[in-house]
Amino acid sequence: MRILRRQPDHVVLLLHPSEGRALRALLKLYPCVPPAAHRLSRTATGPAAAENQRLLEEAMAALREEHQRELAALLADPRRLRRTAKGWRLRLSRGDADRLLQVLNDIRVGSWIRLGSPDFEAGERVRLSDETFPHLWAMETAAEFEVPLLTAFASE
Amino acid sequence: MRVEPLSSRLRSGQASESDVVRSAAPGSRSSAGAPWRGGGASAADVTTSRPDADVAPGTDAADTLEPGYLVIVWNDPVNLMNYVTHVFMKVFGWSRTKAERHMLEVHERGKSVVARESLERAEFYVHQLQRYSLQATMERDQ
Repeated sequence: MRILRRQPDHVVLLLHPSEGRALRALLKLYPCVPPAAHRLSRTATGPAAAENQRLLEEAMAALREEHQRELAALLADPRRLRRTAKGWRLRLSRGDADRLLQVLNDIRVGSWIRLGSPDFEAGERVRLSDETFPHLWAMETAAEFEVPLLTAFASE
Repeated sequence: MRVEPLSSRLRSGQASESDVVRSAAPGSRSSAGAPWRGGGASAADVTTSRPDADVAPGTDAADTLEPGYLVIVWNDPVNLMNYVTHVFMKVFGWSRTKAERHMLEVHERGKSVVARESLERAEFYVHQLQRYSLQATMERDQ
């Protein structure tokens, strides 16, 4: 994926045909982070804390639904995503790009959780198997799409 | 393109007083209403105003309005370093330099205190940070 044009309010990206297929396959995995992974506090207890935790989970569920709706609209909008002779042309407003980043990172973090939250820095490794491969693929591929998006708006 | 995950769980860290986000004044409150129902509002959208009435210390209302809560971002080995920087800039409106300083504190010390706020605003910031899948919590400031 490379940046074709960068403006203050939007960016235009070109995806190789195989990248376009990978992105579509990846986005079908959203949402990935389980609701229980969202914790408001590590120390708070009692009814008020439980209520606040419930509200956080509700808010995250509503956010996921909103992201799914917007994502479907993005993928179906030829003004934002269209096939060209060289691959896929993706035009993202700042808001679109930020939403896509949130979605991609949900897939990355959720895939890592499904792998058992391995601590790579402590030397933990994930054994490649039929079971782990899809999650490893999703985790690494999500990062590959996140980096150019972060670069596109890095000067802000 | 090489990407680098956040990593290395070291000891607990502390942000300097000047680095954390503060309320405009003790007793300030958000005009955005309940943080969970604020939709897509960014931190920059939230304005503060002085409450109309005095609040007795130790009451529930005082708990809600006084800046007695820390917003903490915890390290993990999966979020990309430049992604975390981006999120801090977006949520708190920080400069890249300040955002990178806090990102590195998370990376090197295991956590960073990114705000000291009232209950309501601390909840708002945790909500915003968790939108981006960062491990963020709010804890009482002891």
